[in-house]
Parts: sequence; C-alpha cells; structure tokens
Amino acid sequence: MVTEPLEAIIALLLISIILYSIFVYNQKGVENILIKRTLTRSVAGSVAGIYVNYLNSTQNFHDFNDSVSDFLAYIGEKENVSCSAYLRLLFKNGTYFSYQLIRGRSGKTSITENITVALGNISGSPHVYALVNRSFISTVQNVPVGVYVVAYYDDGVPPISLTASVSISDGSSSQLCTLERSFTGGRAIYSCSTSALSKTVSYYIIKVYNINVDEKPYPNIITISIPAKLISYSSAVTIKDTGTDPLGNSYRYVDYYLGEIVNLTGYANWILQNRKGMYCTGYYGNSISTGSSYICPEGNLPLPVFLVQGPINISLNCDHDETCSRQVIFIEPYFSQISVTLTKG
Amino acid sequence: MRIKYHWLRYTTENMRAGSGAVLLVGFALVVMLLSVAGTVTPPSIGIKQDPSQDFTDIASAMNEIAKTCNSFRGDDSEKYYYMDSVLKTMKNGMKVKGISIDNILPSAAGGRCFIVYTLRSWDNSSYFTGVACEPKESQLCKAWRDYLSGTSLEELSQMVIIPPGLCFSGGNNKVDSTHFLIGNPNPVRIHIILAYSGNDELQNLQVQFPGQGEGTIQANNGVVEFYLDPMTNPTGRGVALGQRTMADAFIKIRHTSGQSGLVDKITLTVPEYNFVQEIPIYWNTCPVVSWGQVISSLRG
Repeated sequence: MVTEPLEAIIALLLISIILYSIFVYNQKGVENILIKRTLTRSVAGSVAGIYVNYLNSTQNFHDFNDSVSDFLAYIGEKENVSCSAYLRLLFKNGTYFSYQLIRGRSGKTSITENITVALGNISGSPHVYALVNRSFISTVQNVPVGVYVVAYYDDGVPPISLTASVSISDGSSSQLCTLERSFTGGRAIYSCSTSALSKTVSYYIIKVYNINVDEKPYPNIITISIPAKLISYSSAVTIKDTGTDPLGNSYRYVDYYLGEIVNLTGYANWILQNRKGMYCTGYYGNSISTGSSYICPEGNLPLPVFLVQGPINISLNCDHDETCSRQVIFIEPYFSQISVTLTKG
Repeated sequence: MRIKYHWLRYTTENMRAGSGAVLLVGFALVVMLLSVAGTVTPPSIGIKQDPSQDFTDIASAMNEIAKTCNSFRGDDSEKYYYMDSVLKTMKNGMKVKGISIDNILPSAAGGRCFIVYTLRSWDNSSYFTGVACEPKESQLCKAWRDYLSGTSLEELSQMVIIPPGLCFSGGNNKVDSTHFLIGNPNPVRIHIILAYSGNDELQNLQVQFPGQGEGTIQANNGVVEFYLDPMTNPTGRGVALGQRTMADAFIKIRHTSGQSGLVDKITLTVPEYNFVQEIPIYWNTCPVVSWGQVISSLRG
C-alpha cells in the first residue's frame, strides 16, 4: 500500500499533537496547584494592601470589609474559585482574635496563604490634638481642669517627644497652665487653674501653642472652647494608669498592647473613640478589654475601634456632665495576619 | 478491464478517504477523553515546591516585626516578650506550609530590636538563617554589617556564636539544655569540628548543618564535623537562597561536677587554618550580656 507524503505528514502531526496533549495532561495538575498558589499569594497580598489602606485612611471598617468582599467575589467569578478571608490580630500573650472578612464554600482542594502585616514606621506628618478631661468647667468649684495634648503620626505611632504651651482664658484675661504629667511617647497632661479668671462667663477658651513634635515645630495653634456651668463636679471614674506590677515596680501606663485590659478606678459606662472617629460604647464595667468583641454602632462589627492603632479617647460616665471624665490611651502598633483561602471543587 | 480498473481505483480512493476519517475521529476521541478525564479523575500529584518564595515572605515579615518592635512602649524585656510571643504564633502558622522557624532569638538592646532566626523546610532540603535588624542605620545593625563583612584570609576571624556563652542553671544532677547558633563571618567555606570537654555529663550535643544533615555527640567523647559557607550580609543566606551559612546546635548537659564557673566548654576547631575557638559553658554564674555587648565582644 502506497502512503502519500501528505498523509504521512498529517499522521505525524496528529501523533505529535496527541503526545503533546498527553504531556500537557500530565503537567496540568502540577501547573494548576502552582498557579493556584501564586494566585492565592497575590490575592492575599492585595487584601493586605486594602487592609493597610484602610488603617491609614478615613475609610471605615464596614467599607473596608465591603472592598475585600467585592474584590474576592470578583476573583472568585473570574477564576472560578471560592474565596474566604480572615483578619487575625496577634495579641501580646501570643493568642489571637480572628475575624472572618468573607466566608467561602468548602471544596475538594484549597490553598491558604497568610500575609503578616506589621505597621510601625514613623512616617508622614504629625497630628496634634487636645482633649479636656471634663466636659465642662465648674464656676462654683475651683478645681483645676486637665488638658491632654496628644500627638501621633499618620500611621498612629506616637512621637518620641512632645512639648507645648497651654493657656486658659475667660475671653479677656488668660493664664498659663502647668505641666502636670508627661507620658512616655510624647503625650502630656496640663493642669489649668481657673481661680484667677472670671466666673461669670459661659465659655472658657483653652489654647495649645508653641508645639514641638520630635523637636520639630508644629505650626498650628489648637483652640478649644469649653462650657462654664454653675454646677459642681461629682467624683469621676478614671483609668488606673499608675500602679504596681507583681514585682513591685511602679508603672505608668497610657499605652496598651492589643489584648490588654484597661482597668478603671470604679464602675462606669464608657465610650471609646479612635483617631478615625469610629466609636464604641460599653455599659457599667470596671475594665475595658482591648481584645474583646464589642458591639459598636458601625454595622455591629466586633472590635473595629481597636483595629486602628494610635490614640483612643475614652469618655467615662458622660451620660451626666457632673460625672463625665475623659482620658486618652494609645494602642501600640500591632501585628495582624491576612489569611486567604481559595477553594475549588 | 477499463471498468475494473476504474472500480479498483474507486475502491482505493474510498479506502484512503476512510482511513483519514478514522485517524481524525480517533484523534478527536483521544482529545475528548483527555480533556474529560482531567476533570473526572484529577491526577494525584506529589509536588516538591521550592520554598524560597515562602522564605522571602517570612524574612520580609521578620524585618517588619523588628521595625515595629522599635516603636513599642516599655523596656527591652517587655519588647522581647512581646516579640517572642508573636513569633511563636507565627511559627505555628507556618506549619501548614511545611516550614519550621527555629531558634528564634529576638532581642532588644537600648530600645532597638533585632531577630536572629532560621527557617527550614521540613524535609531539611532548604535552610535559611536571617537577621532582621532595624533601623538599618543604627549602631547595632552597623555592627552586624561591619562584623559580617571584610575579613582577612590569612587568619580566620572568630566565628559568630549566638549567644557567645552557654548558660545553664541548677544544682547537682540537674539536666539543662539550650540552643546556640554558629555563623561563619569569613569569606571562605570552612570545615568545622566541634568537641565537648568538661567535668559534667554531656547528654547530647546535636548540630544541624544547613542543608547537609545533622551530627550528634551522645557521650563525653566524639566530635561533630560540618562545613559552613560565609555569611556575606546581615540579612543572612540559606540553602534555598544559595548558601549554607549558620549551623544551629542543641546541647543538653547533666550537672554532676558540683562546680560552677568556667569548667566545661565546647571547642570549635578549623584544622585547615589551625584555628581554635572556645565556647564557654557557665553554670549558675551566668554573665549578663546585652546584645550590644555581644556584638562589641564579637568585633574584638
């Protein structure tokens, strides 16, 4: 039987294609896993990027969670996989709090990638604000009012040093406040006496000026007007920021690692507000755990208020002016892990 | 005949056309089978993945941790314990990847943090020793950089032993153990022999050679031999990234001599260079050494 050259070429071509198909088939599983691993790693990296952006922007937790969900839903649709993602916060004692950002379905094969995110660079420009430790100034009691001056960088890290001048005025005359305590990490509380000022005003003006953050001048002057009221202060619950550790060393804490307990001097209702304006409330307790889930107004999401490192204003018993007290704590830079799982089948 | 010829010709052409069709149909069937089989029965695959990507990720995370640690409140010991607990949690997380993080030695000196760590794939085929040091321009990091670069070949520089002395505690018959790392700051590959000498009872001296295996001394005699490649920069090198640099050792001793102080030691010898270095073993009278002092002493 005579074989025409064209047929032989076609036969060879077909055999080559079959052999190539077999080769490709054998490689398919390996490539699938390697591609999936690379994809998972890159998706986890992108989610970590979204997380870092959330921490350093004005975005709220709800929007951040939505961004992650949208992104992973897009990846899931495009790559025909199911995605799940967790945000894991590592506490000081080595335990962690895990928050599910998006839940995927289970399947035959899955690949998980973890990205560790740590934020601790002193970067960007400093921010400075002041907080008065009571909600009003009593015109019937000559109790000095405390003013917290707080500085932090863009990423919430406190500066090493902070100096400022603080004065209080009744609108016509003013007097200088004295430095009461300077905390480690560039925060200070000033004590302002109103004894030499008029008691017939309805507002006092507090000014913070000559501000130096890490020995660099901060140009702005901060002005706060605080109402003057014809009522007395009642005793206030505060944060126990001084104490003795088990070894007998005295400490002064206003900085807390995520997961630590903020102890109060008594029972109080409290409101927490972080530097992004997110807030959380709690009812009648004598401690606040920075590692627990609190139900916050923003979308009923647990723990969002502590997800932002930096200063947190704490208002205690502020449902009545007489008892209201305010203080500032700092949440230290913390480690978090973004964990992304891609599932197929 | 003419008709028969035509008939034959007709039949042959028909056969040729038929065989082409069979080939095509067969080909289509094979392609169909192969494409369907892939989804019906996925092949079972054993993958040996190159862990260098994971090593790079972990090294980057370690640098971030050292950087973040600098911003923490509190004294060096508080920073140390926080880093230690976080690193332990990370270590557990790495198990799913088949990578172990060993001999993590986080340390804080003068408010600055650095971490010495080793990464190893579970099959021991890849190994990486890294030093995370931040800020890079600090005295501590500079000391590492200076120390780990630039040596003369005529005479070997002292090996990097972390910690520089092994410290045990407890009374008679107490068994204690510790880890230490051995690094080669010289720009040549060297052959190291480790031997224990002393009055106490050596239970176990086990050294893991990067990428090569491990050696063990079970009793008071014997030696462990291995090779170490040079460490060329303070971020370290490993098998997965091209070199074999630091060995990690585990030592277990029963205290029987009743003496304290410098009685026991491990002798490190490099025969090709007539080089001898002693690693002292302290019982109970352990010198307090900060990492800054360690680096200074290593630099001589």
